[in-house]
Amino acid sequence: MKDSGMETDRRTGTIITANRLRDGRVVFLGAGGWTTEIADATVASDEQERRALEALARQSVVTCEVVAPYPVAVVDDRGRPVPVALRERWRIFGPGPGTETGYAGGGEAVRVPV
Amino acid sequence: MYRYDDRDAEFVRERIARFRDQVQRRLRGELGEEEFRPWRLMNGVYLQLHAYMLRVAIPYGTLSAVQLRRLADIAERYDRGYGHFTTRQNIQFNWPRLVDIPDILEQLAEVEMHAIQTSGNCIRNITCDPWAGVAADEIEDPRPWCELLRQWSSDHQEFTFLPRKFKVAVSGGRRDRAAVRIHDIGLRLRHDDEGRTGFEVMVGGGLGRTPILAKTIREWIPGEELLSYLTAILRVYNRYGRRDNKYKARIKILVHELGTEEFRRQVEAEYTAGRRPELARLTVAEIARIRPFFAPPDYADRSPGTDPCAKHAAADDAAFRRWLSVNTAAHRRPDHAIVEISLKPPGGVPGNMTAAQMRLVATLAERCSHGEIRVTAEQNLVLPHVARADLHTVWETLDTAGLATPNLGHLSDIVACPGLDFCALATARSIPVAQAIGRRFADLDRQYEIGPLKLKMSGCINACGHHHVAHIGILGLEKRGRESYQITLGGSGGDEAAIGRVLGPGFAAEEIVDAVERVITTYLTNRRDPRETFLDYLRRVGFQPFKDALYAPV
Amino acid sequence: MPLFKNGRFVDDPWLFLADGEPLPGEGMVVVSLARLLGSEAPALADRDGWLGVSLAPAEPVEKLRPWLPRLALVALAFPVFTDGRPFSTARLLRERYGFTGEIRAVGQVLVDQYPFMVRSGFDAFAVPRGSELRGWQERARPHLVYQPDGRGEAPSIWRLRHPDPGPASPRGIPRMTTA
Ligand code: SF4
Repeated sequence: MKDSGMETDRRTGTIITANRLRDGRVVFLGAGGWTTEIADATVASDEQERRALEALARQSVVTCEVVAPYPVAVVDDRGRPVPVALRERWRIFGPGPGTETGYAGGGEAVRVPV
Repeated sequence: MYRYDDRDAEFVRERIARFRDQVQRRLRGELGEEEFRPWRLMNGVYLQLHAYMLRVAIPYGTLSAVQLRRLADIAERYDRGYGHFTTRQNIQFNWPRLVDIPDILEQLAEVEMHAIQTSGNCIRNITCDPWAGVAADEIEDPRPWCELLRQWSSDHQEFTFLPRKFKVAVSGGRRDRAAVRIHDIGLRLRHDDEGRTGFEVMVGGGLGRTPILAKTIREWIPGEELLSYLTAILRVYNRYGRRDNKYKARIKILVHELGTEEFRRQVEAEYTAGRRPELARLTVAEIARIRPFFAPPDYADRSPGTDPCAKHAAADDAAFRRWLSVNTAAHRRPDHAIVEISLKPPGGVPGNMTAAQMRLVATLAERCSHGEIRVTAEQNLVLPHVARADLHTVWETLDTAGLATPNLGHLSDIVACPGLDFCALATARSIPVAQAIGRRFADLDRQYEIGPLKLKMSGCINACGHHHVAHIGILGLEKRGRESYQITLGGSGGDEAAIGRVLGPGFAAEEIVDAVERVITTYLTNRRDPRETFLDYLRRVGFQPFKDALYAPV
Repeated sequence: MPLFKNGRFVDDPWLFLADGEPLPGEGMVVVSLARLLGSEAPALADRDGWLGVSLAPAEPVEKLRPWLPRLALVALAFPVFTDGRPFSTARLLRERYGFTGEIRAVGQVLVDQYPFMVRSGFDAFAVPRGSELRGWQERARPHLVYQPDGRGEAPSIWRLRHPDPGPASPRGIPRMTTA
């Protein structure tokens, strides 16, 4: 398996991600069910394991726990799975710092003339 | 401003009740995601990169102080204390929970707001000139017509499952400030020789992966026939627009494939066969009912004997003078001004506003702008009715909240979509790039030296950041797992609308700010004189100097 | 397939014929447009018994025009519920051609679309098997709308506001005057 820019000796695998139906938050399928922590995601290391995870995910769609599950290729980063694709990395680690403020320059003093 | 009557209110309430029912059925599993999605979208709810996103309509960009305050409350209660104003006169909240959205919609309905048709393959929020009703060059206030269209397009029985989304913009100025030519339908209000109100009708504009400017298919349609004519256009589109490929489903492709002449012929034939006299009669009656809502406020109370603004301007108050000349515009009344509120502080997120800022502007609008605010397609706000006597106070107040950056129409007045920080469709981030460019060019004197310049960026080919019609456009793509930013030059909106051209290969995130800098330097060094704007220079010399500056081997 | 009509589920007297199926001597049958316009046309025209036709979204309703006096039902197919073409087709049938027979929605027909369908001119709904039938009884009801040109029970806000709008003046709409 070759991925440009990736070190090929790192263990690769697949995790399943989805959004929780009720609140939309990003979740991962782990041993204890769906979790918001990617560190707790179960990594499928072969086709068969991945299929088993996908079957579980489909079940969770039927029970209305999650919506739109899909597999994400990951590499191992010191015991934590990290997605290969740019989009998936931002989905999990974003939004970036400073992208949620209204005014980055401080000075929230709110004063209105009388 | 328009105010709901009991029926408008009941319509919105009933619609929320239907959506609440749909959400509950979705949560119980009676509706699958496939069957739920169109209703979710038509109520403004997206499933974004990290969470649901709620897009609230600000119909034709007009907002009251009371409404803005309610948006602040929602930002705090259901989001993370801010909102994001978009290029289509909407505001987006990034973190609502699906289960809360019917409640949010009810809170919006209390102040006569909604999220109806802010997404989905239907007629979207009607946009218009943010200076409507106050611009010095206005032919006629287009907002009564926008309100008519808002009502007519809501829950339309025939046009709610179109091949693709459908955007309508209306402009009432001698100058086009609604970018009508990048819309599926662009309407320009005009009077005929007898002083009757009507519209020039343009069709088939849009950006995205196939940017095309709308073509005029009728020079003038009388106002009372407008809805019959739009029905004809939409019916031709609904029947014959492509549904096999979503990238070819917009009306612009149909117009292109049929040819403008043939498209016009089909529309005219449909219009002739389908004209409905009742629709015309009701249009006359409804316009007569709506127009008084948009009567100008009572300006008399703020007409000053002396103009303290002039005093401050004359005084050695350079900061105020700068703001005055850059962020205000001529009002139809000489003793008033249109004030632009910049949501582009250096390093800020374009279009973002905190709840505290919203409340401040709401209060300011109540005191100094007859309670009215406008939202622009360039992601700024406007106080449309400020007496010149109040300008200094307004400036001071805005300045305390970081809302008085005097950069309107200049380089750091950047338009940017949410990009890969929030958007599920994005291929690259746009906010951090906009922030970095804003910081690099924060020096105002340098921006003034550069002169009028529009820089816009999108985080994917969908072009929500309108980069095609920017003087300098930036499109974020992904190339081999990395972000790559493509530069487009020479686009323009409004009257001299033009689609920009891609300059060459993209730049990495670390390189893009320098690349913009080189574009600017090329212009500054080579322009004939300071009066030659960036766009004039580009049109005179072409792309080569910029290509040389960016791609010449070192 | 359960058939929803006039606010309740009713028995369906119509037989939908597949293209290869022989034409029965009598009874109410629905054929495809291709069959209606094909070699069997004379037989269909002369046949005793009510006749209906089913139309796919892309099939032009204009072709039905000469047949309309002979047709008692037009079935408009929704292969997917997001295909909005049948809404235009239904309006043309009712409003332009004055068709008074049954217009039936078949295919992926959702109760949430019922209000839009009724207002476009549909008056019968073949509800897909597996749908919650009780939901139809509860939810298939008209609600307040703006458009004055819809059918069915939905009250138009504009009509309510302007019960007697008078004729559109030949002078058109004069420019808005602002002080
Ligand atoms: S341009 Fe692309 S990335 Fe930006 S908001 Fe639109 S869809 Fe999202």
